Amino acid sequence: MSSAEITSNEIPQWQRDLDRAGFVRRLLLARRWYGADWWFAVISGVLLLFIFSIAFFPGFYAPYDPHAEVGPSLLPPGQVPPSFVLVSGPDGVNTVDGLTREVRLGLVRGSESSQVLREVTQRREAELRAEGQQVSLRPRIERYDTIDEALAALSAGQVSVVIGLNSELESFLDQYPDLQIGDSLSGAIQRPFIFGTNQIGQDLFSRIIWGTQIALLVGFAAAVFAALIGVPLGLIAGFWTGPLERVLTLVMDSLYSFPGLLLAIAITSVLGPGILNVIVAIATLYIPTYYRVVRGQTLAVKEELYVEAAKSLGVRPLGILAQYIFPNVIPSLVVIFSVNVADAILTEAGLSFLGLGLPPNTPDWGIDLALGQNYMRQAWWLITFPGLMVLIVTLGFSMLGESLSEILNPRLAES
Amino acid sequence: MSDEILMRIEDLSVQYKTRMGWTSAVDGVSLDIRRGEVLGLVGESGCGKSTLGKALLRMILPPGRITSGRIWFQGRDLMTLSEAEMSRIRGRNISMIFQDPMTSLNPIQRVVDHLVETIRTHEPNTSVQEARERAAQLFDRLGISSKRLEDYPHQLSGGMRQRVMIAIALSLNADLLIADEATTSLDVVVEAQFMDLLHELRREFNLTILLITHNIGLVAELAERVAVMYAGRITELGSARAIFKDTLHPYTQGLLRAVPNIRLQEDELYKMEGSPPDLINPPPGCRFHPRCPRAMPVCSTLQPGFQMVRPDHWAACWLYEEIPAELQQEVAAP
Amino acid sequence: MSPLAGVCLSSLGVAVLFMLYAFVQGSRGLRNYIVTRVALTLPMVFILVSVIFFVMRVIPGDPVTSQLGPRGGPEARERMRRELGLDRPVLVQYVDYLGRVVRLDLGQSLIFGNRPVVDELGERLPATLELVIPAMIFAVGLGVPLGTFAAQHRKEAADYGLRLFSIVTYSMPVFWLGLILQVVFSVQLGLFPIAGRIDPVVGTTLQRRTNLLIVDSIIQGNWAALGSVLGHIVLPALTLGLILVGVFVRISRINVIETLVKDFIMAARARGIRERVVVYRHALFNALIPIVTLIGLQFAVLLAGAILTETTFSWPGMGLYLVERIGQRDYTAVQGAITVFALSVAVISLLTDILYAFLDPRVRY
Repeated sequence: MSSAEITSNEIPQWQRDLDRAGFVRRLLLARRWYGADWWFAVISGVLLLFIFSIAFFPGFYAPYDPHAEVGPSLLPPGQVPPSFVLVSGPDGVNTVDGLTREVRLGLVRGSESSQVLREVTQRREAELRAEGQQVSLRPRIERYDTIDEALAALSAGQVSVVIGLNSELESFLDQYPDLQIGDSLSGAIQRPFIFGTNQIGQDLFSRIIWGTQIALLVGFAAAVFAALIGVPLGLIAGFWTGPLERVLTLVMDSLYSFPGLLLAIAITSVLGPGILNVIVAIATLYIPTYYRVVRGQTLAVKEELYVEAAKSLGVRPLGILAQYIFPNVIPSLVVIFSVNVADAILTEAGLSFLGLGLPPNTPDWGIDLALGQNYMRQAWWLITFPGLMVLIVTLGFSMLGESLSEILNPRLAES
Repeated sequence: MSDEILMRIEDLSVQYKTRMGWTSAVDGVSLDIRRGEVLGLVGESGCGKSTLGKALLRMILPPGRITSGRIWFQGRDLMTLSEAEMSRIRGRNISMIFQDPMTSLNPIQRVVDHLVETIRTHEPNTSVQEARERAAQLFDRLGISSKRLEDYPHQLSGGMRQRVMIAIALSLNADLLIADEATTSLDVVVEAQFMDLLHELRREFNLTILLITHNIGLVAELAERVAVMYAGRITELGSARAIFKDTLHPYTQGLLRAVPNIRLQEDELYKMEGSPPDLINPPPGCRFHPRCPRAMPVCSTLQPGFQMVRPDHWAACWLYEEIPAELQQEVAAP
Repeated sequence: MSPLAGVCLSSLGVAVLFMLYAFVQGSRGLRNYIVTRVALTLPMVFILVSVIFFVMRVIPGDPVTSQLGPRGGPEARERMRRELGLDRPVLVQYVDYLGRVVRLDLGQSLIFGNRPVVDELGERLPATLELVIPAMIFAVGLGVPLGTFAAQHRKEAADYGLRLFSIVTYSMPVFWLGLILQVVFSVQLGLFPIAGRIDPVVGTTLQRRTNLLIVDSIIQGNWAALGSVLGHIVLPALTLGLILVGVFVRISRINVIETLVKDFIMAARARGIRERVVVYRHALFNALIPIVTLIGLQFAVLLAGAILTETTFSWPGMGLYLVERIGQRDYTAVQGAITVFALSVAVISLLTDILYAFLDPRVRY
């Protein structure tokens, strides 16, 4: 009767294999089980790890200080900042050091040459001062409408030196054989800016990198605060029902139905800008969410037989909450937390866009978008990249939350 | 019951795709349904009887598939029909009633509209007025007050809903009625009324009924022939009398023993050992062998054929079949 | 009576009539539901209004100071405090405020010559309506069919693509989408105007009666104005609608999927009903009744999005009003606007819940 020893109570082979597999193998096997959701979860997980690295080590990714005005104003992405040079006559002023007060200098109205001149001369003055020399490099400036006019003036001797764009000058200099090119006056940076610069010359890429830190900080802090208040309240409310709890639930339900952004606007309009105020405002929005979910789950688990058994064994209420109810709540909590952070980041961006959030100098995406709105016509990059960043980060958290939700609480038997 | 064969099922197999592989829900079932009879199809939950019922109407949806077989009905193989042709057969020539009448009726459609829609789908020239009259007549025949025509399903009681289901099934004078666990959700009293009703209607409407159920008592009451199903295969088939009095297959014997009998003196209820097998990797040979008290070595190796052991009484078991020569030695060894 | 009050009262009247009809027509279940739901709304509204009041009173700054600045001497300050009623104890102020809200008296603006806030909001409300309603129509009109399509093509590329689409649109900041659309369609392609409700030149030819510019231009037969108004609505409504589409796609998809596996669908097939009829008549109606409730739930999101959209497109609605007045420190106006927002959300959600209960025969009968 050897063959009849196989009973149907035996664990199938595939299940025993699965148990023996290590974590990584199990992860890979899970792919077959969960299909698309597995991909969503993994992709968002990787994306979020990357984003976290940006948030924790912004200095590593950002080439420049986000507040520093390192480049020309409104420079498109990928473009090298223009380089200016001095042009002068055969015996005219040719060097930066020669730009003293007696010198008359011509430049094109409205170009960045004046800003570049200022930068360069100030830098040089600082250098010379450090060496002990007090020199004032403030030439007198004549403005012309075009480079052509300026060169003509130079030729005619009205000014002794002209600043022009290197690229422009090449074509014109054929006409003026006796003029020569002197010192170059490039701005401090000669590399292109990945995402361009904004109105005051800050590198948009660096601002966006540093903005990640702020966004994640606000998002997480708000979600954590909300959870710290909402979860215990929900547990208590679910466990000890009564008139007090009913009132509390009514209040929470009312708040829950309130448009989130509106409540945040109300609170921040009253508290004023500031990072802590923003965190408080956004946290308040989500307390009802945690409360509702946790309370609902507590109510359900409370009725379970094993909880009754525990009670009859004399386990204290706090023990029941901690050992039986809370662990059941955790899967939903993880999902809600994730979605919460996503929503918090969006709300914070909205608040900052409206000017109600962070202080105006912060390198924040919402603030950048508000600033960029003014230059929409000329500088499309100022609104594209900050918003794209918001989208990507929010998407990461949302996808993670959703796919975890499907995995932990599958709603449909999608076999 | 005549000898004319209404439906012949040949070697029908149905498989479902699951995360862990393909399940063999119905495996090589061959069966005849004779005109005018009540054929009971019994088995445990999960043995494939409901799947078989649905397969007859080709209502197996992905991730399931009918992988092989033929279904001969009124001279045609239903497997060769197009979807459009098949839908003309459903509800008209072959009808099905389901286990839970509450969920089988559209909650936002009035009861009479269920019937009217069915009638007008198959006989488009019928006017709404005519269809409603026919519905009213059917209701009358089935003992449902005509006041309830305009009601929504949730306003009716369970028994009434089940009668509505029968009314719908009979609205076009179907030849074959498949009753899939039709009384499982009814209480005993209503169930009895329902069975009586079926009995009457059967004569009147010249119905052939395939009664799918896990309740053996029900089958004993109404069925003339019984087929026993286990793990996707038919294990025994014969007249009701033969099955109960001259049980052949060990599984059927176990089933009958498991029915509680108030008169018995035994201390414990009989319970068959083991549980139904995993259909993704079913046991080799006879699928019942792991639980069979009379299993032999050959049972775990080779699937027994479906043999006629007595006149019109079939079984798939090595106890009644010639074991092939190669395997005979194992039987001889102690 | 101010126009806003008029609009509110007449729409409330319609709503009440509907509820009465449902009450009379319905079964005991429906009546109980209506009574409970209304009874629930009143305390909720009360709580909301109170929360708004107390939040606004926690001002660390002082409305008087922010309004008068360093200019006002002590007497001017005192006068203003008395005018605003700020010299009375908080609870008295609170009760007074509640009383005034019931009478739809939301105080007077601190800035523009003491105009009643209700009047100012009344002017802005139609603009917000003309943004929000097309947006919702777009979201539902696009989202539900797409969701149904996804449900029928489960686990295929289209289904995954739509899921991705939903989650992406939901994760976008609405104002960013607006800005991008402005850059692409207005600045670059010049297809649509960049901001505002109507071309300023054409706008002078249109008389504002209801301030619903579509209605006004049709009534007056001013087709040029109508064209301009419609052109101006496209981008804002598209922006707001796209953010909401995702939710409707997802919920429709899930509802249809869950409905299609229900027993009565299989039973319908077993009766020989054609697949197309099964899906479109039997499944869809069942699946889509909950969408009514969803519209109510999403209304809060819609209003929040409207605030941002109006800011982006300089759309003179209640949202822009709110933001402007915050900048100008007109706290009375801010409080009034927030109150109106909260109340409309409460009312709309009450109505949609009752409408849903009415439509579902299981509750109605």
